[in-house]
Order: sequence, then structure tokens, then C-alpha cells
Amino acid sequence: MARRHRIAFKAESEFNSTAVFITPMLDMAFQLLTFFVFTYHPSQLEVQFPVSLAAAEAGGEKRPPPDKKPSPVEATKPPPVVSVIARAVDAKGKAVKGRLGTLELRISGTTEKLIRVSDGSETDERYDDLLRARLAELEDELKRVKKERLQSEDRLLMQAGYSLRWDESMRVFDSCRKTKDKNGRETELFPKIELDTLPLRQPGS
Amino acid sequence: MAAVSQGAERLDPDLTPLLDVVMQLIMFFMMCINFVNEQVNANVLLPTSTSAQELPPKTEADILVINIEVERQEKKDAAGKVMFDSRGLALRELKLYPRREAPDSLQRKTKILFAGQKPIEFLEEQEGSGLSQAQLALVRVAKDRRAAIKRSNSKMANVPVDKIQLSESVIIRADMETRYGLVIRLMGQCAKEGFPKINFRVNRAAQQ
Repeated sequence: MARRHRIAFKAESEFNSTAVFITPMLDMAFQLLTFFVFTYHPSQLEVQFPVSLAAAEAGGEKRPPPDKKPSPVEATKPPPVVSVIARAVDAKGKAVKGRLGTLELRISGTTEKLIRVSDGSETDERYDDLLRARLAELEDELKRVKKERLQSEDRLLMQAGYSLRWDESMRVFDSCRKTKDKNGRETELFPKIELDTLPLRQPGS
Repeated sequence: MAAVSQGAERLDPDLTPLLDVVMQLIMFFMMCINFVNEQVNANVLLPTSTSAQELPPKTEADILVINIEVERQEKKDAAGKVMFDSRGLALRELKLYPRREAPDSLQRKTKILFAGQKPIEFLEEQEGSGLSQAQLALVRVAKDRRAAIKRSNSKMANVPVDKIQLSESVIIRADMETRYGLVIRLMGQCAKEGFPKINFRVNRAAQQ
């Protein structure tokens, strides 16, 4: 009886006290924190860039704006002089599908350089090294060709095999677009690149 | 807090610094939260590129985002049994490292999502029909957008729907394992439908 009286007295004194109940507040704080942790998206890491298609083969000639005739300049625009052809490996046996097989640089339809990258059977680390080295070769070749033979406004046509991995094609795109000089500074090679696919029956497509 | 003196002393931790830290964390996440555009799909593993620029500070009012997601799945044999990788790698490991491939035991399922349309899913062998479905869906989206422009602009009441010019940019967010040709075909369809600008979204490459 006395004990119950003491407990009742203690409970009553707690209710009379002005102390704040922190426990529910902490619970709410952790609920809020959990909500924001789960809904946090680091999307600011994404960046974007505009692209253009080569006419015809890629399946889309740009629809001209209504009631506008193409200007004489656009109608007679010559095709790009420089083209880079990225062929995927033949998906046979243990070859890893989607890897870059060969890179070919053509100037006005004539093969300037053919670079063999992979046959698809290497380990990932070996393939990464090969890819980096071969893309550096392509960049050097593009730099040389641009310096010796081309005008600054020339466009580049990048044709790649249908089955080439998107990741790989972006790396080829980057190599055609920019390069680094001896001091590590970025310089632009071909700011205007048109994209296209190889015809489906061709090797490497 | 009052300690109850009944034999052993209770040690009540001071909760004030804990609460302060919790509030700081909450503030941090509140500032950083970005209720991302519904059109963006977080499951797409984007490739990296050095060619890209910062996103414009104000998101364009009318954009069409095409998400191409690639999911790796275990392949099953004719009896419905899961085929294991000949190198003994578990699916979890293969999924974590997109470059490692086990052609025998994995298959890829591509999912194309955009503009509130029903997701278009297909395996590698069915890519032709999946692509055709996506192209038809783009035709529908372009037609709906033109119709919406006509409804909202009284000056275009007498202009036929297919002559209305679209002003939306298309943003393609393709998974790193997507096939190049699939992306180019979709781009071609967007250009055919009259979308004036097409952009690729990638992850920012690390500074080397």
C-alpha cells in the first residue's frame, strides 16, 4: 500500500514537473532523418550534351520546319570529310559482346589508319588498358590529320556497330571530341560530330 | 533529469549534443534533397563522358526524357533451372561489375520508359520488336504533344496538328550496357517526329 502510494506520488510529481519529454521528439527526429536519407538522390552528378545525327541511315532525316524551304547552303552541305568507324567484336565463342573490336579512321573515304583494339577474349583489366591505349592512338592520329590536312570547321562522322556497348561508344565519342596536350590541358579536336550506325550486315555491326 | 537515488546511481546521458547533430543531419539532407523530375529513372547506370557540360541552371519547361534501363537477369535453361556462371561468380557479383560478362548464364532485359507511357521491356533476342514498339510510342507522344500545343494556343486553332512545331528537347539517359544502335534508332525516330534538340545525359567523368 505504501509502495503504491509512493509510485503514485512519483507519477504525480512527474506530471507536475515542467521537464520536456524528449523521447517522442527524438523518435520524430529519427523518422525525419530516415525519410531524407532514403529520398536523397545525388542527381547533380549528371551532365548532358547535345548531339546530332547523320542524315538518312540513322533512320531519321530531320523533318524540315513547316513552310520552310531548306536554305541553299544546307541543301548543298557536303558530307563530313573525316569519319571514324568503330566496329564491335564478333560475338563468337567466349568473346564478350559489345566490346570494341577495331577503330578505323577514314579521310574522304580512304582508310588512313586501322587500329585493332580487342578480340573480346581478354580479361576486363587487360581490355581496359588496351582500350585506353588504342583510343590515345586514335586521338594522336586525329590531331595529326587535323593539323596537316583539315580546316577548323570540319565535321566528323562517327559510325559504330549496332551491337557496340553504349559505354564504349561514349569513350570513342570523347576521343574524337577532345584530347589532352603534353601539359594536360584539354583541346578540342572535332566539336561537331554526327552519329550514325554501320549497315547491319557489315562486319562489326 | 533527476537521478533516482536508490542504491546504484543512474547515469543519464546528455541528449542535447545528440539532438544537435541529428538536427544538423536533417538540415543537410533537406538542403540537398532534390525531388527529382519524375521522368528520371534512378536505375539507369549512365556511362561517363568528358564531353558533357553542366546542366542548365533552370530545367527547361518542356523536356522529354527517355530512360533506357538494362537489367541483368539469370538465364534459365529449357527446364526452367537457373544456369550458373562457369567461372563460379554469383549473380550479385556479376551485377555489381557491369563489365564482367558471363554470356552463358546472364541475359539482359532492356526497359524503355518515357513520358508516362507503359514501360517497354524486351530481352536481347526481341530487340527488333521492342524497338518498333518504342518508335510507335514516340509517334504517339509527339502527336499528343502537338495536340496539347494546339489546344493551349488559340492562334493555332486553324493549323493542322501535324504542321505544329514541337519545342521540346529530348534527353536520352541510356544505361552503359545499352546497344549503340538502339540509341541511334530512337534518336532517329525523335528527329523524324520533329523534336528540335536531342541531348545525351551521362555522368561527369572524374578529373584525371
